[in-house]
Amino acid sequence: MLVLSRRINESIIIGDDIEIKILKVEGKTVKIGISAPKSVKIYRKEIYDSIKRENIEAMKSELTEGVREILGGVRDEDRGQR
Amino acid sequence: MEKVMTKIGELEIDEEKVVRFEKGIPGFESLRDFIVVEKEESYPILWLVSLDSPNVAIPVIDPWLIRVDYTVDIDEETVKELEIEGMEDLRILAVLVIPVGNPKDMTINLMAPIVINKRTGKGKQIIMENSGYGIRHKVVDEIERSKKIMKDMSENTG
Repeated sequence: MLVLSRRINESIIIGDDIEIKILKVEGKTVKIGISAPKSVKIYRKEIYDSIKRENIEAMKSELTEGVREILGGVRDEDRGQR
Repeated sequence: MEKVMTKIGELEIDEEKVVRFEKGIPGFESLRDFIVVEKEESYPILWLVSLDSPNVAIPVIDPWLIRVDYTVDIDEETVKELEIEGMEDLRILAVLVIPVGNPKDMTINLMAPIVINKRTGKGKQIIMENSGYGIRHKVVDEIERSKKIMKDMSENTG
């Protein structure tokens, strides 16, 4: 990993069109400004990671009678609309 | 029709129904081709089944069955990527987690719906970070909430 030291209001440029600027440092929190093309998706890493975890948990799901009971109502209503 | 072994058994694959996730989905980044399978015994739960790995099948559902007033905001980039031209192209699904032995704690991920363009066969799990939706809404609570909304609506109109 490349490590750089930056002061407040200093930036880092990545590639041709991504700029990351340090806006504010307060205790343990750093406020960062990011300018990037719309096509570049930016997420807080913990959100992406938690969605990843949910998808993996989903894969372990077990379908039982209890599930059918919970969804029984929506099932009938939906069928009625078809 | 090609036969493929999947987690939910051998399936006959209709090429036209294959959904391609160009970047995979979080947690399964290396898998590209999926198919949405509706099984009578698990309906209204559908399965997003991997055609690349026989171990991966994810339960998904039409999110509006669980949350009647759900709203999905599809960003411009996704519209371009999936070549979405209109509402009629869309199929939206939400991922369910059904804990083993504890179906009452089943949750639905409303923050990151699966968006599929039925016409082009392209799919993506989008992340609506600022939507106010979470990744773990309890399904029983959402159904209760939706029922109440429907009831209030019918009382007000009737």
